[in-house]
Amino acid sequence: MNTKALLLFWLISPLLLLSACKKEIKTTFSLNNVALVAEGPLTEGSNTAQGTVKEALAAFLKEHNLTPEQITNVKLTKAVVHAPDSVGFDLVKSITLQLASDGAEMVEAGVVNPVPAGAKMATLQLPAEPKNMLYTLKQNTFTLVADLDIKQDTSMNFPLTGNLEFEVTHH
Amino acid sequence: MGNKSSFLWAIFALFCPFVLLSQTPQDTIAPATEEEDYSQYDNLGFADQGAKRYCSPKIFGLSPQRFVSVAWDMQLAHDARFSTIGAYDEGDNPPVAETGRVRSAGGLRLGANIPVVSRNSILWQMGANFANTAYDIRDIQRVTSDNNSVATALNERGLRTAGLNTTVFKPLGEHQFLLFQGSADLSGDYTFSDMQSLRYLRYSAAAIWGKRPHDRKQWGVGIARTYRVGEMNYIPVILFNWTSVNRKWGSEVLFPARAHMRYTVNPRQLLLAGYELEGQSYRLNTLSPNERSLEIRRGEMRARVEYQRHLFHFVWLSVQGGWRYNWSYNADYLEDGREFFRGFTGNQKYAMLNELTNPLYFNVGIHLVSP
Amino acid sequence: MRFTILLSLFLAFIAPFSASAQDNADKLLGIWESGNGKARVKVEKISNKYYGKIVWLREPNDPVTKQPKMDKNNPDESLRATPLKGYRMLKDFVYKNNEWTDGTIYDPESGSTYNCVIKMKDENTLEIRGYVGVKALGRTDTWKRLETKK
Repeated sequence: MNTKALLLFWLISPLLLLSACKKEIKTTFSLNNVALVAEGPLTEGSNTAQGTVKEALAAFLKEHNLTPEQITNVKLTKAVVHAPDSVGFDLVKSITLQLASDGAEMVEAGVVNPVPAGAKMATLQLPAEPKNMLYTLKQNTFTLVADLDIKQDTSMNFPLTGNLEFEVTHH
Repeated sequence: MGNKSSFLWAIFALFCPFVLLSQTPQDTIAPATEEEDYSQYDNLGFADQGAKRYCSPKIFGLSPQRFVSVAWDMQLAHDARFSTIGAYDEGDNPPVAETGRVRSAGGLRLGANIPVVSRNSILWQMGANFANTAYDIRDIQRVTSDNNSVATALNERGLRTAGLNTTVFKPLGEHQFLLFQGSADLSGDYTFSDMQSLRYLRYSAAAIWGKRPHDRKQWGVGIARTYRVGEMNYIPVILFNWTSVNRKWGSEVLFPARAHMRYTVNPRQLLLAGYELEGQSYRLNTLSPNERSLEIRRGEMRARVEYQRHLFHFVWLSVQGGWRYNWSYNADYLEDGREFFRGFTGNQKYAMLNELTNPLYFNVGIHLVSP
Repeated sequence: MRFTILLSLFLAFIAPFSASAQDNADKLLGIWESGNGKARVKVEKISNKYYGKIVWLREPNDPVTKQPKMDKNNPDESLRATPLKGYRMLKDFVYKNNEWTDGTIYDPESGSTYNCVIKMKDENTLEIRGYVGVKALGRTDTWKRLETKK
């Protein structure tokens, strides 16, 4: 191989290599005002509130002009649960939040125990090693499941609102 | 026998306080607080009226039970002295046939313990084990012109033991249980291309009746036929597994076979300290004329510290270090390979009275553990 | 027209079996007691999967702290404040071939999660097998159904 060809090879190779390594971008994505409800009557102890989310990523993909295949990781970065204004979380000792779907494993989102007295919103403690929630969010539907430890029996329904923030890694 | 049984009693005395103290009324779990209301789930009964509850074979905090184990065991340098072959009483001072420096003794150990039937009402496990001891004996000095060189046989072929075992745990309700163990072991200087006849299998067994008063204590008494001190014996056994209220301290005792105190650093790291008796009757095939079996009654007491650590998924690491005390390396002639019972009081003669000094040893293993 | 008739016949034939399979799958729903009597678990359905959460503990309080037990052995330190009462120890079970499979069971004592398969021995008895990799390397626990005392 002559000198010119060798020089060309060494000049072009790094460029080819760089272009082959797709750059990863991290973007914030929020799911706000997800409605959950624990249907009454509720008994003292563990009760479950559920809310369904449909096509979670659709709006995000459209906004950023992405396909699902371009997303490599979805990490939960914040989870906040709001109680009804009239009641607050006075009746609730603890909240454990999970995401469940038919096509993926149930994933822990976080826990708050104890819920601060008089609080109307609770920010959950997230897992130190958050799992990739991509497969859950890719499902057409997933269910947000909040397990509530209720302090006393009550006949009422208990509605909640969940706000989740994710860090989406994509090409 | 005197020194060794005194030693056993000393070990028992060392562990006795833990046994007795943990029997005191103070060591009970705190009762549930009276003001707690368990809600609607309190007032429930079995849909099936004939249903029973059974006690678990485990208690909280025990070191993990192992499905499959692979380990490397090695004793460090020590001296060996082999007598001539004759007929001796235990206290005799027979002529020395050979001496040697054992640079190392040890090798691969494999174990498997698989549940066959695993239900609340009965647990039946089958297991297999293999332990190889390769010897590296140097400076062999032959003192007599006897052609029987045990040192050479050990050097060239080593010793190994392979066995099958079975364990049945049968709970008798919520707090009582029965435990049976049995094993058949083939031990000797055989190789896999030059196998030892199965007629030289040696059988061990134990039967224990026990109680599990709560989730942190389990005890039992029973009887065992054992080769743990090298030759066949019948001995009483005491089982005592216990974990403290704060789950940090505990004991795992199957006396006299083994006894350990346990400290739980966290659910993924444990420290144990104690001892274990190991033993088998090893046939020296190359030195056994006709059907007359020359068998080394090999028994060891290993005092050790062990560190166990979770690695990943269900795989744990164990690292043991300690001191190997030679309980017995004497040899017997077994006519037609048939076992005989000497026990603590028998006066049958030994074919050889051998001595080994007591080195440090280590053992490193990887284990797949059970739920 | 012919196709419509054929389709209707096909659906009429299939429907009873589908309904029956669903009924069988839902037999898992209810409250069950573990073999050692220490915990009671309520099995619920979320979408098309089955999950079980602890609703009662024989010893609900930690004997050292005297507080309600939490998931203190969870390998993730951030989740150790999760109360055990209400904990979803059975997750993601799908009914297939007369058993509930593809799920996991969590052991709060060790903080370990195992593969799990559930078989119904009879209407009131479950065999819950937690295993490591292959089903042979596991342990079976028998759970009994509970109902309100008469």
